[in-house]
Amino acid sequence: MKSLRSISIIALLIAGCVSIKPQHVTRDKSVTRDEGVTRHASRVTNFFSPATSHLFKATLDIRKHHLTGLLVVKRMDTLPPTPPQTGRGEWPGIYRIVFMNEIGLTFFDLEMKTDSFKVISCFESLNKSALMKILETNFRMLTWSGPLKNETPYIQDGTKNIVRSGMAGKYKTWQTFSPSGDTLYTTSSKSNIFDPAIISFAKYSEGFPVKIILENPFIGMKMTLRKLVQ
Amino acid sequence: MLHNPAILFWSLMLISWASFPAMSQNRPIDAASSESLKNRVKEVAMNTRTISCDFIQEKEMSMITEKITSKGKFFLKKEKMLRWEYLQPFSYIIIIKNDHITIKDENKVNQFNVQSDKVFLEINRVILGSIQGTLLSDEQNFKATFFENSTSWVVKLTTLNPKLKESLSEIVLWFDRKDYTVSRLEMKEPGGDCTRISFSAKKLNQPIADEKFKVN
Repeated sequence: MKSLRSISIIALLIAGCVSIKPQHVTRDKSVTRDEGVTRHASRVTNFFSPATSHLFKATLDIRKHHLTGLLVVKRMDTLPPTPPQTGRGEWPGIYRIVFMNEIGLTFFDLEMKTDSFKVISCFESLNKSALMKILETNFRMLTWSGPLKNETPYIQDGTKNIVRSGMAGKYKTWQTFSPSGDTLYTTSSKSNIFDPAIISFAKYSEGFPVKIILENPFIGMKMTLRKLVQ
Repeated sequence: MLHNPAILFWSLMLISWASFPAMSQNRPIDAASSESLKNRVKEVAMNTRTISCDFIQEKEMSMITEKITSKGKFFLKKEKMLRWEYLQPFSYIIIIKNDHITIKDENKVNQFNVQSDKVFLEINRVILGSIQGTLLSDEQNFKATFFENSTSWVVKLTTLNPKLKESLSEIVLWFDRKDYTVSRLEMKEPGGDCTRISFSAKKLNQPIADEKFKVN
């Protein structure tokens, strides 16, 4: 029993070491800080503007389980947020995120606000609080649109990609952009050892990533999204 | 005043227009007619060797105003061969041959046994049972209520099975008055979301090659 507990603790510690930091990055000293926010902070990450919805073909793999269907991300609020209400470190807006199978039956229906994450409905087998917390981290980072707090600039060796690290709300976050800074490649975040989220954005069309992959290496979850045009 | 032909014409038009919704509303039917409908649907299903048709599927979500619409083709061949193919806005094919399921999702093909996936088994039973009309007699899982309107027989199936009730609270089937086949299927979820599937360009008992039930 004791050895089983030790193994579990070791496994947790190993899992806790999941690094979300992009590889081969060095501090970019050419960029100066201005009250904790770098001058190059205004990168394009706002994919979900108010009152818009996006439809994706989606697959969700969690270990041996494989689900396919459609994912709808709808931003419910209509008014653009004003700075005093939505300062740094917040998720402005109200999002509804629905994952359903191809035939139309809902796997989960979630509502995400600045300070709450509500499960509207969910298949019993998916409705586990640990999984919902992991999905919350992923969807919060997917919809993150502001600059990072206490941003620190880096350059990725070889690729010359621009890398920023800082805080997105409670999440320690790394963002990797193209060398020109106008295209977001990856966002990786975590607030604890259980919820590391690595999100890759690819195949941009008209400023929107057509392919998005959300991963949690801790539980081996991978959600692949491909944008559909209705 | 009614001697004025124009006023008479418009009055009649108004009366017809006002009475139209009432005409198209569903009226409950008595037990004898319900039994007769059940037998007729069963008889048609027994005499149907193949069905091919187009379908339009609309998912309506309670909090989101937009509908998600997908389109495709449906093929059924006795015994136990089914091809459910989505063409728009994505490509997805489900083929059921006996108890084997093949799914082609974009270019990825997966094969498994229908008995191994309880969710799929249930969905398969509900969809096939709806189209073939066998759900009408499934008194263990559904309570059936029968209605009629000018174009269809309407059967409302309220879910009794607690496990199934978690994902489906009600199924509504529209049977065409002309041929007693399903023209529309509505699946209601407990949260208020609803999926409607309308079938069109229906062809009954036309030859369908077995190759249709293989993934290329």
